[in-house]
Amino acid sequence: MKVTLWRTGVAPRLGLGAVLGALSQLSALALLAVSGYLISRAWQQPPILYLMVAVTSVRLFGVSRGTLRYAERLVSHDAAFRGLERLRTAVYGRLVRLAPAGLPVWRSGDLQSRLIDDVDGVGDRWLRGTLPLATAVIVAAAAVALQSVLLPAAGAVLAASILAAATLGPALASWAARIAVRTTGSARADLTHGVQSCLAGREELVASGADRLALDNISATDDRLRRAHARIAWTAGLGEAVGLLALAAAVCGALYTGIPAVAEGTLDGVLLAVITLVPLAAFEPVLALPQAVQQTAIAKECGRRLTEITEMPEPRPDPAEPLEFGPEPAGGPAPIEIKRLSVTWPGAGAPALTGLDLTLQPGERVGIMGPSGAGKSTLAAALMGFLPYEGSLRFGGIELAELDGDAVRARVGLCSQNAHVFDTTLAENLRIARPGADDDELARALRRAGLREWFDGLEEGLATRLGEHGRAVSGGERGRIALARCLLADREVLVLDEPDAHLDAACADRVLRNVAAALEGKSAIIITHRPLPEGVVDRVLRLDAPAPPLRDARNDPLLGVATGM
Amino acid sequence: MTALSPPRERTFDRRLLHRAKGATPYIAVCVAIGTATTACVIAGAWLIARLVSGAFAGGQSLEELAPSLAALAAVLGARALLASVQEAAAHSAAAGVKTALRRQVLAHLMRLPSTDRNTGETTALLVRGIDALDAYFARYLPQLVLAAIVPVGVLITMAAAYPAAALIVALTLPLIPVFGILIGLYTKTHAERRWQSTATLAHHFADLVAGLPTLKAFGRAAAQVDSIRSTTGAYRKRTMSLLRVAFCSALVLELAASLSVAIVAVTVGVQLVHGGLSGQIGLQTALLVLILAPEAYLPLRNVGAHYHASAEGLAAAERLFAVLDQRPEASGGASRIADRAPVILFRRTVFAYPGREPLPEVSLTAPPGRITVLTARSGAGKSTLLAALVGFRVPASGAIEIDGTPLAELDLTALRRSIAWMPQRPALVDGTVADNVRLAVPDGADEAAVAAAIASARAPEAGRRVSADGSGVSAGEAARIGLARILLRAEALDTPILLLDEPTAHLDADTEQAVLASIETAATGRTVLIASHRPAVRAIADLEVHW
Repeated sequence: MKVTLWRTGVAPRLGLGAVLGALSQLSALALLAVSGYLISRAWQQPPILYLMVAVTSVRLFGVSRGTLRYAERLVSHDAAFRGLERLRTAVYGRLVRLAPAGLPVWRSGDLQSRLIDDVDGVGDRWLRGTLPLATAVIVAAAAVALQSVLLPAAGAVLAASILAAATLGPALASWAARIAVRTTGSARADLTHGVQSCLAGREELVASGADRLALDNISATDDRLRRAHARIAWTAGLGEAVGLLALAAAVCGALYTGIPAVAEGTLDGVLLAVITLVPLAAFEPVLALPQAVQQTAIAKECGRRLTEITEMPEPRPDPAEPLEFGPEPAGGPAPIEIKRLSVTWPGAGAPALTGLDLTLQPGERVGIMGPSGAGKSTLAAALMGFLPYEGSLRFGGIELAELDGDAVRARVGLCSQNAHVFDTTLAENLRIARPGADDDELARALRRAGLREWFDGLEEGLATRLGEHGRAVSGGERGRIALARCLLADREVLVLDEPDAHLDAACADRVLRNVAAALEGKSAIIITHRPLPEGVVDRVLRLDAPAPPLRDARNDPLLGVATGM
Repeated sequence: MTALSPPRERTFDRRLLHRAKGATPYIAVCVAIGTATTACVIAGAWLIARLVSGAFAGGQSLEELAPSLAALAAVLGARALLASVQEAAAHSAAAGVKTALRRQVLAHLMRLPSTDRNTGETTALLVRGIDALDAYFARYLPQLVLAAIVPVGVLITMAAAYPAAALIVALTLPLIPVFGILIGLYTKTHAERRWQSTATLAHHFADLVAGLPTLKAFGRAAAQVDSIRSTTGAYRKRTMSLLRVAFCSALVLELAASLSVAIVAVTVGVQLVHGGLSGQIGLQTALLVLILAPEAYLPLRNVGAHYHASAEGLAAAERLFAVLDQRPEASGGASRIADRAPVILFRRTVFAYPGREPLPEVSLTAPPGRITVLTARSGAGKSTLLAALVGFRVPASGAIEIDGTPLAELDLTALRRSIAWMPQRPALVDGTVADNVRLAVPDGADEAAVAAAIASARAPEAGRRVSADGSGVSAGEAARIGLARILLRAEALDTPILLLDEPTAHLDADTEQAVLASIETAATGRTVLIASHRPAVRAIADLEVHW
């Protein structure tokens, strides 16, 4: 996912963090090197004045290391949080383009883990991957330079051992991560998902005694995850050993080259302690490299999963140059004309709806009936501009494909079978339809949707929280809340997909009559299974199940038969 | 991402170690490795000091010093080996503990009454939360052990070599945990609130994503981008203001460590100038002290570094124990019902949900071997009544009796085994339609029976893939999978009671007729309760109850 990190000030902040981090580590190195020099020089018992510079620097480095590190952590964390903000909104923005037809590809548990864990994973990459890497490079370069100036051979040994640690350790770590991350990634998603469905379906699983079976399934997935983690651990341990072995080589190498150099006089004996202590400090950031590389690999996998979302094709892209609705013609709103409409869901082999003809005059209400799978809900999705289609679908003479999806949805409202009830208050759930609506308008919409008694019985009224997925309300109430929301939106054309599901006949009739009254003068399509009461719709269109998928659906005779009522 | 330090007194959660199988031997391994590591650290420092002073002050040649150099290589090599063994042992122990804990908590959750518990948050706790314990077991705990052993060994060695330096370290070392505790106390409530707000943030996203189609239909989806931006922005500001204080504990630690090394260096240096330490041994002692001083602080620094990573796990552990401390559902009494269709009686039962007016009082008798259809208006508590018979809702007043025995006196497990219950929204699991139907008979059902049930319920073809969130099937198909499930259960377990909640919602008239015929067949010789107002369902009723 490309997020413009520079423009938002994230990258410069991270850069500043890396510089501060490197300066802090260099302070540590300088503290040890100067201390070594101080002690060696002091042993020669020079006048104490000669040592004052060393004494002062030692104290300075003692203070600067901690304070620089503190500044680095604040700067880099702030940068990472800013980056995450951008990333999260960018991913969500993409999901908005894909919903709903492009979305069912993912299970909700997986999608949730993508949005939260994967975005966090990418953020971890900056803090625990990129930053330590940058710090290590700066510190290692400085240490090798210093060592080479003092004794070129020791510099070469240090460079070689750092190079070995910096390549071999991370290589081991990333090799391990590569083989294991894929397994943990999918096992984690499966685990999240299994736990979620187990918790959501608890009562039915317990009632049928299948809870143990469900738990066993989850344990099996968990075990897969455990083994994958164990594999990463073993190689991480190896990576750690490689780093420490390289450190041993650097220290022993410094002494091995330094001791003869002192004897030969090519190295001042005072500096032998310095070249021995420099590797100890220089290796601190280098030893952190395997973990940084591992973190980067994990983050890459997170990034890959996010890219899957961003590269998913939009089911119905908005046209490049959308047409706009003209001013309303003198005779009021224009009709909807549907001719030979065929609609196929993305990834589906056969169209879910074929060859539909329907003209909806302004102010006309049409009922659509038909068996399950006849494409009733597909028609609703196409009318909302959620799906591409073949044939013609015109709003007041303009082809729907030429319009922006949002422009279509500003005119057409949908009350769908599975409308979502958000985990917030009743009022906020309704105001999604019309943010400015006052409490009286909300209450009126609820009454029209047949919720008068229910609403009057709520202790907290509009402030009642509806709970996760509307669990605190019954199926019938949930449907009517969605209906109230739709009435409140006050769209020109309304598509009601089974507004009467979960309602008893008397209640359904009452609700439908209320709705019909509320919709007077507006166009509406009401999708239903059961016969509608007198006066609710002007006519009924029956849809049949689509032809078997083997036949070429486009050659099918018209499936829709309009009957007057 | 970044975790904050909850209070320091929680660093060593005894319950976590008690509950965790394999944790005690693992700690023993950590102690053994820690002790060996300490020995390597001290030996390494001594050898380096000896080599440098030997060459510089003693004028010794490489040949003379070769045995010491070889010993140094061996000691440093051993330290590397110890580190990798530690890492591997840590991860295998952590993985075992996590898996056991997850299963234990999930199994307990299955026995807890349904409250308004939030599935998204609980799932995050069980997956992300428990995974976060990894850092605690694999990284933090071994460092904690090292932090207890290394400073002691180092201090003893330094005290033996040069007491003044040991005194400097001994005086500054305790400052670190003291400041840590003070800062931890300050950030404690904030850190707990932060986990809460992380969970809330997660739930908020899940809710938004689930509701995307609805938001988009109302043209409100894009507006939520701003809401996410302001939510995460506020989250960042809150977290950063807390981090400014929380990072202070690391600041104190780093300052104490590096300043005391500086003080040791200067003190020893001044001593050398004044001849307090002289000769090759003097230099060797001075260097030994200098090299050892930072080693005393290193494990503590690592504890701090890994503590941040493990704090999230500890906060999660706290919440896991809170779950385990909740009392499970009552398992009922010891009575059992007979193996024939019973009479089901509700006498003046009233159910109440918090924050709502109580549901209307119900009295009804479902005669044995008959189909009773509940036709009460929407929201009158039909589903609640059926769920109560399976023991998931308890009436606020009134009585429920099966064959004259109060429900509370019945063995709940046995009772559930005598019931085939189809809730309004059947739970789906990942797998095929057949896998889903098979769940009805956990002991295993034969394939022919599964196929027959699928056919009778008009459910989708057996091999079709279904996912747990219901994608892959329509609402009507999901309902028919639920129906196939209970037809299979009724058949295979010969359950005398059949409970169906809106079995024909989302179905067209033809399918409804076919499905009802299967239900009627299955109803023979069973006590059947159906919640529905559909005329076709009422047509097969022996008795209708309305309230």
